Amino acid sequence: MKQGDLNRLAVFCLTVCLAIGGVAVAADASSDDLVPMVVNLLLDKDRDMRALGLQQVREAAKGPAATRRFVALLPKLPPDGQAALLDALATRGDTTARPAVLEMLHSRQEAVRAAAVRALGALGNAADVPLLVRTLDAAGSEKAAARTSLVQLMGPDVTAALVGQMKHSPAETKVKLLAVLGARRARDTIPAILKAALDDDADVRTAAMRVLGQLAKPKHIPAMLKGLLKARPGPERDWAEKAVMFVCKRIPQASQRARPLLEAWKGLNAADQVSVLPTLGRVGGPASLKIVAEAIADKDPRHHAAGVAAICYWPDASVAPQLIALARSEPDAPRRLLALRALIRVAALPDGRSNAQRLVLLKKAMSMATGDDDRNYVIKRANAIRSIETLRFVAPYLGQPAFAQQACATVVELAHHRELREPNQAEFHRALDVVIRTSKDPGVVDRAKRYQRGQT
Amino acid sequence: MMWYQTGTCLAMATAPAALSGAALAADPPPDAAAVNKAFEALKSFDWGTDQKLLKPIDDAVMAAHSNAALQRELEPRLAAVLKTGASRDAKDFVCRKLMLIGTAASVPVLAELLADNDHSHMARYALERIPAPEAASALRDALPKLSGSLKIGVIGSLGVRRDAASVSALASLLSDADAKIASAAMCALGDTGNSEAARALSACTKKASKEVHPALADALLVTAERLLADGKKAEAIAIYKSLGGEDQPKLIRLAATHGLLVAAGKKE
Repeated sequence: MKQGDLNRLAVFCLTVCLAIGGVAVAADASSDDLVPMVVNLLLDKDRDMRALGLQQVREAAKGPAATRRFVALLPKLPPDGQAALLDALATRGDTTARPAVLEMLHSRQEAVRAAAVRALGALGNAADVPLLVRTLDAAGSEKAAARTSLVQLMGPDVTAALVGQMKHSPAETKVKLLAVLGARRARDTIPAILKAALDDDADVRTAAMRVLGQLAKPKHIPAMLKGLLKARPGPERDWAEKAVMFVCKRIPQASQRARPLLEAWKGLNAADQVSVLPTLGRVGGPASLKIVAEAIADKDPRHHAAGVAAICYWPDASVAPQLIALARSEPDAPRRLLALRALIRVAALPDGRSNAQRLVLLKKAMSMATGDDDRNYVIKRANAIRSIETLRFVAPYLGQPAFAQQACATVVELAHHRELREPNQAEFHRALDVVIRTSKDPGVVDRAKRYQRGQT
Repeated sequence: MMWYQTGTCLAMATAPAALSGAALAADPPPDAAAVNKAFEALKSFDWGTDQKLLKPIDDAVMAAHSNAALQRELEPRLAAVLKTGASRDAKDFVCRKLMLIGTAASVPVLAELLADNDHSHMARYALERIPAPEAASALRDALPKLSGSLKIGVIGSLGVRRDAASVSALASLLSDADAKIASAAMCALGDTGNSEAARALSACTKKASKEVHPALADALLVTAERLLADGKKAEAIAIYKSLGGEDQPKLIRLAATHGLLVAAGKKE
């Protein structure tokens, strides 16, 4: 015999030995005594004894033969026992139980049906997708169980089956299925989700864009922009813009984040470019700023409005000079206010500037504010700048009725940070004394008292 | 010449440690003068003082693990501290070190501390872990001389050692008039967990007072677990069955049933 033949023979013998060993282990996985004991426990009147049996179903007494014995008990148990055994069988994970689980879906008891639906998540396969999708429209606990099971269901064909169901489902079901695909992180279904982003139903489009915001990659941005452009202005458009922004923000290098969006933007017609400007603003970056600044300077009111909206979404304070200019000299009053509010928002953002720089900008915004709502917004945003100078800035507002409540909340939020509070204990104690006397919010007062006692 | 009196012997002593493992090799050899200084510091040591003062002794104890000569020289020096008027904390520290490198040679001095309210606990800490059978003998011999919590402590230490030779001594305490002593003996026999301990515990089930029932049931359950782990399935099952009756509290019945299930799932 040649060496090669000997090697093949050795591999064959080893395979046979392992196979025999495997069969032996499977057949012998649980001892003869154990399964009858577990069966008796599952039928016990005492709930705690039954729990012991269920634990064995979940963790011990391995093998399909044992599973069949347990499954045979299902019709004999009361409804709560059936539900508990179905849950235990799901955790056990032996798909031998699947046919019995499907039978239990016809139970008259909702709790049992819900447990069977839950169990299908662990024991089912792609063939169960249509049934679970139908159950998404059921009432009560079955509906939630079906959603969980569709997320949990394993197997190579499951996501394809989900996409298949989406094709001829009503809009309401499509929305649920899109959420399931998102929860499954089903990146292989992105083409189908992109298609759903162009659906005639606004809810479906919104759901699709939300999922794309979680799953899509920069290479999908051109296709996502089609969905964004189809979105109606308002909450749907907001969600679509945020979805594109989330995808861009996942690019690790900050300097590259706007690049795929800008490349896609260049390929759009002039009208669509204007519509996408606010999204450019949400992503930010120097190249986007150039385009946005040009739009603001444009005499076309539509371009100008889109430019102002874009800069007001900016993710950092690099556009503070432009926002100050707009807040001062924009002819349209609502846009002026929008710019001021954007300035207040970005002033406190932790974007690499020092606390002192952030506070100076916030004070500047305060000096430009004309209404009490805006001033209260400034005081609220101050809580993001953790410095003793911020406390000194906010403390005087504790005595002014129009701002006192917001100032109390901000002081307490600053005091929450021990590393700021403890080195400046005397100043914080004085401010917290005022908070305790002034605040109408019991939660704020309670926090102030705790911080005074040195607690967290 | 003692190793700590010259640097040469110390260097020789630590050489095998360097060979035995990278971690030990990475530690610099303990400096003899530093060790001497640490023993000086030990005379007035308490847990409030700087722990670094005693680090040379810690390092020497570590090095002694892989060097018998070093161990033979360090152990008596540590044991000698227990005979002095050193502080409680200093003796505590020494007992912790003898727990690591102590042998039969340290047993007598540790045994003397068993009757001492202040030091009994730490002496037991060392005697529980010194592998020499003399340590178990010393604990056993101390039993008739002790009472109260000191005796309970020694009983517990015999349990920790799982010393088969102590089963009869412990069994004789099962019917002690002091329920705490009897309970402690039950727990110790449970920890010992061999067939003889199981027989002793089973034998007292009928005559045990109600006060000690929980300790007895617990000890039997622990014994059964240990027997099962040692492959004595039939003996373990017999114990579990004895605890499964309706006369037992529900928690015990549940534990016994669980034990039976584990036993049933286990191959002979």
